Amino acid sequence: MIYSLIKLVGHRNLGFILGLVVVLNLAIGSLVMNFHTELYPPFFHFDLNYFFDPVRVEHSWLYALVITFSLYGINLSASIVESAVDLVQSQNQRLRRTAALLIHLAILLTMVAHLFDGFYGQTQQGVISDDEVTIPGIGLVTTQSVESIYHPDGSLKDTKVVLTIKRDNGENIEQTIAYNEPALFDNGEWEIIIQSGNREVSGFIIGNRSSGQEIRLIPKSAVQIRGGTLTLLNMLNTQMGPFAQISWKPNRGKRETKVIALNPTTGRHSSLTLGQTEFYFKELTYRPVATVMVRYNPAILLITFALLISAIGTILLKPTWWRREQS
Amino acid sequence: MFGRKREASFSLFALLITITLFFAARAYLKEFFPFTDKIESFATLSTLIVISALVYREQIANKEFTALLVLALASLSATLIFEDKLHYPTAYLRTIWYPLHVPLSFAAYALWFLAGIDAIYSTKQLKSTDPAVAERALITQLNRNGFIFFSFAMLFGGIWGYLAWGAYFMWDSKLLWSIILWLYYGNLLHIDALPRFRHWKVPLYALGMVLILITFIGTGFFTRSIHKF
Repeated sequence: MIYSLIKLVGHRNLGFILGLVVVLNLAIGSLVMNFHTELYPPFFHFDLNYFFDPVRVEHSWLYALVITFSLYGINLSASIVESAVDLVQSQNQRLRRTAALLIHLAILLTMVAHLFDGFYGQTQQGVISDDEVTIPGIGLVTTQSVESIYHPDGSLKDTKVVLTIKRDNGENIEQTIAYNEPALFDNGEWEIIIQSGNREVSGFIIGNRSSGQEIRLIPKSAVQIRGGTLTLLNMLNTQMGPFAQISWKPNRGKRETKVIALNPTTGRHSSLTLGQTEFYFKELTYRPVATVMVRYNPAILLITFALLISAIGTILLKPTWWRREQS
Repeated sequence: MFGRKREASFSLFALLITITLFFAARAYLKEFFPFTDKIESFATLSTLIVISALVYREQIANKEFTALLVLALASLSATLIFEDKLHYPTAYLRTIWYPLHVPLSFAAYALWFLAGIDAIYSTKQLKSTDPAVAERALITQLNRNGFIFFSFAMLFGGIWGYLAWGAYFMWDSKLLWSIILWLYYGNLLHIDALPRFRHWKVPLYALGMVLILITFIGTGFFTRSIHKF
């Protein structure tokens, strides 16, 4: 009785029609996504929550797809059970039946993995510099260095970013990431993926010619020197070049705001008198900055297993020239 | 013209050697293989169609062989539309998964195109009601081989996607249409075992060619896909 029901639900004719309906549904979805650019950014991650929060008429194709894929999945599950029983009972064409069974099972597992990743996966984007950044699920991350290489026409060839990661379990890791080479954690469930990397101006150095004293300034950070306290307020790019605004608070006296040109060729505009001492702009300082994407793929083990059995199933299908040689 | 098999095959081998030299020169200049622009992409498709035509030369009729060559020529002519400028590969293309993923999918397109043309010039085997005969038909063999190539192309593409963009699938028209093609031709693999749908075989294989054109050309030219070639 149950087996008859399974045979009915997993009927091949039904599966064939459902397969075509899914194809049609996906094609409609593709058209809708292409014409509603305000709703669907190009190349966006598979986030199913997006389609349900809020529910919209434009997403109808996806709601229909969930239904058609579910029916297809039910048909596929029943046909897998039927195929498995057939495989045990019959000795005919065992290799080919095994191939079909594995590929069907892989499709089913991929569908389940998509559902799981679609609802529970996460994508975050952020910037990691030499300051520690907390990434939930991974730990405290800092960028140690960034190095880029370029093609002869000046276009980017690759970027390598060295990250240090303090995991929540106390483990310290140094990991290099590059394009196509992410940092993987927890069996690949968590990933840090490079999007770009460069060196960013972090501040500058001023110096005194006679004493050789050098002071490193970074924004919002006060530096105590002889005669007062110096704070870099901000750095600006103007039509006349880059400038910095500095707050100078003498030990005795009122706070003053001073401006210095961040260009050593501008003569006295690139020098500052602080108390009795004259300082000049020496050089800019840089820090490594990486723009990264952090992905959480909770179903990665399931999808890896599906890929594996799908590959085995596909090899067992065997191309015709291989079959001919064997026969 | 193509009835003279030896001359036709010789001309095609000469074409293949020319295209190989073309690719070798560009690969040397870019220090990269396989391709980085539409010119090379169309040339590759043309090459794979020619290779498929040569591989199956003995099993297809002259009309089908001629149709394939016209198709290969059309694909090759399409290269003249674009500005010939050497494009260095973007950082994302510099991975082993790229040469594994793309040429395999192009090979599948070529085999499925051949299946479509074979369907249009349908043979006696296609009309047979015996599933065993239908199973041996060239069209079914072509689909199976195309499906194997495309399955591996999808597997490698999925791994590449996970490593480069953090996901084995993303909402992109080329990816969506690749899934459409894979499901469509996977579904067609079952048609010989379904007597009720066997008469759909020819129109469905012919429709398959339209789906390939949408996937290969349509998504690259008329959508916002990041897959531009």
